[in-house]
Order: sequence, then C-alpha cells, then structure tokens
Amino acid sequence: MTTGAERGLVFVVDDDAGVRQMISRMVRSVGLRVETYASVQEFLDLYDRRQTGCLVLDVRMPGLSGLDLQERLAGLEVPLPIIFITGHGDIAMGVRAMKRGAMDFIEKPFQDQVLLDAIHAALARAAELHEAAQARDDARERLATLTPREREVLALVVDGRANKQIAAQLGTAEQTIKMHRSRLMKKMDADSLPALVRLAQLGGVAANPRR
Amino acid sequence: MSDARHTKAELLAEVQRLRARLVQLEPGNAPVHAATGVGSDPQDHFRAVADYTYDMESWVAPDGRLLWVNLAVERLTGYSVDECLAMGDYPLPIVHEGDRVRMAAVFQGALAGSNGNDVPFRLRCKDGSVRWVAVSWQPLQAADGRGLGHRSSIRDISDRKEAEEALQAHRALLATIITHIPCGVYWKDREFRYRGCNAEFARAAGVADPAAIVGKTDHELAWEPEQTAWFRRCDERVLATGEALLHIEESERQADGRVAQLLTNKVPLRDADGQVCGVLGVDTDVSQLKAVAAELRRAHDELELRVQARTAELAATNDQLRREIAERVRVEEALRTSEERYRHVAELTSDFAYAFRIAPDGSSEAEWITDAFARVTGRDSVDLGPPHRLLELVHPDDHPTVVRSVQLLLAGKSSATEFRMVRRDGQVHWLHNHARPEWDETAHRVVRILGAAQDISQAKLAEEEARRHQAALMHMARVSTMGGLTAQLAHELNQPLCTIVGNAQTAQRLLTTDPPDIAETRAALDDIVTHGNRAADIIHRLRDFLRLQQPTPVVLNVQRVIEDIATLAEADARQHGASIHFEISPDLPAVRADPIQLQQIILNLVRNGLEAMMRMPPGTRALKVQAQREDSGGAVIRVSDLGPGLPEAVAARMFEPFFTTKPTGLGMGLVISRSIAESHGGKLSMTRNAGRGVTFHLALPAAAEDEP
Repeated sequence: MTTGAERGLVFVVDDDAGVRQMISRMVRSVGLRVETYASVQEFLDLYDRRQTGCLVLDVRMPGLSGLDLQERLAGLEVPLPIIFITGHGDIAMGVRAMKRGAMDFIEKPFQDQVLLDAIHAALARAAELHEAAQARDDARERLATLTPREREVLALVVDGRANKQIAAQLGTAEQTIKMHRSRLMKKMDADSLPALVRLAQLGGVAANPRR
Repeated sequence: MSDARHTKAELLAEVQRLRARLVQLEPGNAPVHAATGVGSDPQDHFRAVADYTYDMESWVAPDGRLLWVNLAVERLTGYSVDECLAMGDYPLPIVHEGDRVRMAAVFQGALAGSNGNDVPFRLRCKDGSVRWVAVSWQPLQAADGRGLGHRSSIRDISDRKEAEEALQAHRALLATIITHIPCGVYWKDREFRYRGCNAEFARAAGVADPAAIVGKTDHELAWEPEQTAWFRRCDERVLATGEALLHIEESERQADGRVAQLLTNKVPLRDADGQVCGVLGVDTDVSQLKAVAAELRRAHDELELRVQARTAELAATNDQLRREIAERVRVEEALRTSEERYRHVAELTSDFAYAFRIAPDGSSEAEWITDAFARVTGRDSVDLGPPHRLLELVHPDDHPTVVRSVQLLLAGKSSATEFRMVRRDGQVHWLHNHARPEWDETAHRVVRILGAAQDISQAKLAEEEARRHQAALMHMARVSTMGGLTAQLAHELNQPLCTIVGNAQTAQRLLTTDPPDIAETRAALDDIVTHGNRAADIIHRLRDFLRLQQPTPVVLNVQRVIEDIATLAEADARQHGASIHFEISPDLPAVRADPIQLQQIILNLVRNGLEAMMRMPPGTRALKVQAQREDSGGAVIRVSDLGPGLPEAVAARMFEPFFTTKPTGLGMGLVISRSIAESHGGKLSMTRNAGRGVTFHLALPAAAEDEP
C-alpha cells in the first residue's frame, strides 16, 4: 500500500488567479500533486470522485461559494477534507465551516508553513478515510462469497453463541455448524474470532439478528 | 213680422168695432141691422155677439147643412155669409185641395158627434190664397136632449205656422252645422252630464252615436283620469262664473288612442231666466295645425342656422382677411424698425463685430470693426495690424487655441473659441469669439473673415465658481462611495499581498532544494512583481478617485475607463455576494469626459445595482455592465441588475435630490451622476428590464474628430 501523502491530490478552488497559482506553486514545491479550479462550478464539473485528496477552498467567490461546495460534498461516501482560506477573517463563517467538518480555516495572507501543515494533515486524514473505505469494501466483497446458511451461522457467531446453541437454533448437528464455521473463517480470511467479528461488522452484518 | 204688425192693426180695428157694437147694444142705443134682422130681443143680442166674434164660428145641422156662420168668414176666406150658406157641402169648398180628404173625414166625425180641438188645415180663400187655420168643434144639444148638430170655431193660425216653420228651418240649419262642423261639439247640464254632442265628438269620446252620450259624464267616457279631472275643472269654472273659457289648449287621448291637440272653447248655457244651466263646448283639433306649425318652426330654425353658419363663415373669412392685413402691416412695421433696432443693439451690446480682409498672399488687415471693440478690449482699432500683432493681444496660454482657430478659418471652416485677451492695463478678459470665413468661388479662397466677440469674463468667473462647488460635491460623493468600499479594498489589497507573500516564501523554499529550481523561482518572482504592481495600481487609482480636483475633460477610451474601475466594481460585487460581468464592444467611439467623473458614475450605478439585488437569493445576483456604440455614433454604457425592479412611484422620483430608498442613503448619488452626464453633453436614464430588475443607460456623445 502506498502512503496517503503520495496518493493524495490537492484541489485548489479560488477565483483569484494570482492566489490560485501561488498556492499551486507552493504545494508543488513540497512535492505534492495539485489541481486548480477558478470556481466551484468548474470543480463540480471536472472533479473525479474516485480521486482521494483534500480541498483548499476560498470561502467567498462569485456564484457558488466555498460553503455551498462544502454542503454539496457532505453526502460523499469518502469525505474530502476541506481547508478554507479567507480574506475576510469572518469568525462566524469559520465556526460554521468547522462545525460542518472543515479541517482548517486559514486567513489570507498566511505563512506557507501554516497552509502546508494543514494540507499534510488533511491528506493524512484523507488517507485514513480511504483506507477505512478500502477495508469496508474488502469485508463486503468477502461477505458476498458466503452462502445464505454460512451468513446465518456468521450472524449467530458474531452474536456470541456457542456452536451447540447455534446447532439447536438452526435444528442441525453441532458437527455441521463446525464445518460451516471453519469454511466461513477461511472465506472471510479471518485467523481469529475477534478478527471475524470485526470484518463482519465492517461489512455491515448486524450483531443481533432477528430470531 | 210685417204680417204680425198687420194682424195687430186689424185686431185693434176689430176691438174698436166691437166696442162700437157694444155701445149699440145698450138699450135704446141699438140700431136695427137690416141684413141680419137683429132686433131688440135677447136672441138678437146673442146673434150679434156671435156674428161679431173674431174667430170664424159656425153651426152645422145634424144633416150637415150649414145653419149659421158669422161674419168672420168673410175676413178669413173672402166668401160672404150668404155664399157659404149657399154651399151645399160647406166647408169643403173652402178647404185647401190638399187637406180636403183629411178634413172631410174630420167633418164626418163631427157629424157623428165627436169633439175636436185645434185641428190645423189650410183654407183656400176666395181670391185663391192659402191660409192656415185650426178648427175646434163640439156637438150641440137642445134642453130636451135632442141633437142640434155641432158648432165649430175656426181660428187663423197662419202666424203660428209661419213661426213654427221658421223654427224648423233654423233647427235643421243648426243640426246641419253641428253635424258637419269639423269640431267636437257637446253640451252638458249643471251635473256635468252630457245632454248631447255631434258625431265628431262622439267618435273622439268613443260612443257609438251622439244619442248614446246623453246622460253620461266624462267619467264614463274614454278619457284618461287627469284629462277627466281637467275637463271637470274647466266646466266647473264656466258654471261658477257664468263666463266663457276661450282658447283652452289641451291634449286629449281619444278613444282610438290618438293624442289630439285641441283648442277648446267652453261657454255657459243659460235658461229662459238667464240662469246658467249648462256648458257648451267646442273642441277644434289643431294637432295637424300644430304639427305643421312645428314643421314650419323647424324649417325656420334650420334656415336660421344656415344663415348663422353662413354669417359665421363670412365673419371668419373677414377676420382672416383682417388678420392677414394686420400681419402684413406688422411685418412691414417690423422690417422698418428692424434696421433701427440692429443699430441700437450694435451700440449697446458688449459684443463687437469685425471683418478682416484676406489678401491672396495670406496677409490680413482689419476692414471694419465696431466701436465696442475699444470698450471690451481696452485697445484702439489701430492696435490691430497684421495677424501677428493681433496675436500679441492674446494671453500666451491661449495662443495655440487662437492659431488653430485662424487655421480653421483660412481652411474655410467656421470657428467658435474662447480665449483670454490682455488689456492695455494688464487686466485679463475672457472673450468668446465666433467667426466664419467668406469663400470666393472665383478666387477659390477665403477672402474675408467675419466675426463677433463677446466679453464673457463674468460668466467665466461664475462658471469657475460653480465648477469648484460641483467638484467639491462630486468629491464628497466619491469619498462616501469609497467609505462603503473599505472592506472590499482591504480584501482587494489582501489578494495581491497574499500572492506576494506566498510566492516569496515558495521562492525561498525552491532555492533550498538541491538542485535549486531556478525556473520556478523566477516564475514566483515574476508573479511577485506582477501582483506588487497590481496592488500599487489599486492604490494609485484609489488616490486618483479620491483626489479633489477640477474636472478636466479629455478624449477618453471608454474601455480603459471601465477596465480601470473593474477591480473596484468586482470587489464591490464580491462584498454583495453577486457576480459582475462586463461586455465591452470593440468598436466604441472615443468620448470627451473627465475620467474620474465617468468612473464615479459607473461605480455609483454598479453600487446601486448591487444594493438592489441584496434582497434576492445569493446565487441569483448578477450584474451586467455593457458598453456599446450607439446608432448616433456616441457611446452608451448600460448597467443592468437582476433586482426586484422599482415601483412606478419610486422610478418617477429617483432622479430627485435627497430621494432614497436606502436606510443610510443620502439620495444624491443619481442626482450627481445625472448632472455629471449632462455636463458632458450626455444623458442618464433608466428603463425596466423585460425580466427582472432595471437598466441604467449612460449615453455620451462621441468626441469631435478634430479634438485633441
């Protein structure tokens, strides 16, 4: 697996060309990849959602504002960490942005290190979010390989039942349950019971199935 | 009548005779009448009375034989007593042939013992004449009841008969008149009951025939209630006063529904004692007469109108003629006085006029100059020599203006200029000079320059003063506009500052890498310079904008002016959460204006538009600034917003001083903007957009081509 910093892309959205180019140059100078957009609309039109990274966003722009974009991105499965930059020092706006999950809120003009630190932190957060999403997708993929019977058994295992109880509940022999259990451990690629439970939960198996 | 008189005379004669007879009848006086043998015995006395009774008396025996007849027979018939006694069938021979058969029957009846009274018949007299008489008779009886025949008495009724016939004839005449007269005639008693009427009236009243009306009152006839009441009132008055009511004009709805116009006379009817016993009415239907009269009146009126119209026409023509004559007189008078007036004006005015003759070699000399020249310039006309001398009178700063003007004139163009002239005492006076060249077609050159100049120093001073005040006012407006923009300006300067700081730090980092990225470092440094200049430019323009200076119109590129304020306008738009879009067409003409004032107008319009859109949702606030060439050749700058628009009442007043819709506005922005526009010969107006919002139009005339 590659690191978040290597994978992540810095998206810059600012209507002021000078500021946009300056941030782009600054980000590239520390070896990060960058894409720039002159407006929120342009970003929405061109942004590839599969691409992980972070967003450096001017708060106030003609047309859709930075805050509008934050609102639109709130529903994403893999959130895009946002660093707001503003020329206005509007505290109320900053609080609002932070409450909605912004990573940072930086006033212009700023020291380069302040922005770069914020970008690194945001990319790390993006990598985490990306990894979590990856793990969730893996677990789902493995769960999809189970038979309906195996899924039933898994639900009861996750609920903490012993093999005997499971056999009684499903009206079958304990030996059969053991067989299902070893097969699903293998399919889920779990080497222990805690690992199996964690995978099942990542994949969305309910801990307390309906009886 | 003569008959009546005659009869009376006869009567008197008879009475005389009778008296004489009575005297004779006194005992001892009685004369003996030989013929009748009347003696002194009573029978003779009776006979004498009978003989001399005035009417004709006779006695006829039961067998029809005439026993006795008195002397009156001779008076009435012309036959003597004896002749009558000799008639076998008395009295038929003396009866008129036409009555003989009837009377034979009557006499037969008398013989049979009947009574008769006053039976009229005609006598045929002995002389052939006819006389009306009436006969009465009774049977006579003796004391023992034996029939003695009958006695008859024949009375002369010719007079009565005559009167009756006359009455009959009158009645017939009256009936004929009443029947055929073209009027309604009727008569009523004191109880207002109709006693009769003619056919004409019966028709109007709706009764079958005149007889049917008798006994009726007006209430039972065809009239309407008001008419009935009116008739009654008239009748009452006639009955009460006993005087006729004449020429009553009334309208009457008749039985056939027609409303007739009537002229009515009502006169009282009197009985034998002279008491009023009724009313006689005569209605004349004058409907047709009235209609004809109305028609006549209409025709008359129409004629009157035509006469009036014609008269008015004639009067109008007359007036026109009079006016034309007056106008001609006036024009002639004006012409006469005009010359005189011009002379006075030339003497009194502060203007002076002049003419210069231009020689073929281009030199010139004053041909003539009015006296005011000395008063205005403080110089004598002798000071005017060749052109270079003339130029010496002009203030040095204005030499280029005057030289250029002279060049224009010599090139055959008119020229209007303002320049300063220095008086002999060193005082500087402003002159407005208007001159035109006189082109000679044959010589093909300008041979003369005619001109007039005016001292405008006072006006110039006032103008200067006004300009200073206006400049101060404009400046205040700009400062106030800028006051609202401070936050934007901070942001606007912040952007380049941020870019500069960021690029500088990045450049530092790029130089620490190994190997240093020189190319990128240079790019960063270039950007620092660019944005440093951008910041300086903003400051510079701001300083210009806020500087208190006299407006100085110059020939301007409108595109440049708009570009210069674009940054400020964009900053303002950002502050208002709006987008701003510029559309500058490439073929804009140059205009002559003060750039700062032009910027002031545009920024003011931008600000108004942005503020108008504050009530709209943020995503929809868009302002458009367009600049185009007009068909007239001038430039028009349009500022359109997408605000809610303006109500009629506000739109009508928006160019009034101190009218504002903003809580903190002073209400001078548009007033100042318009006054600037007009001082540049332009116009500022407003129209409503087809969709939302309004558009302001700033129209400016194109700068003249030969202007610097």
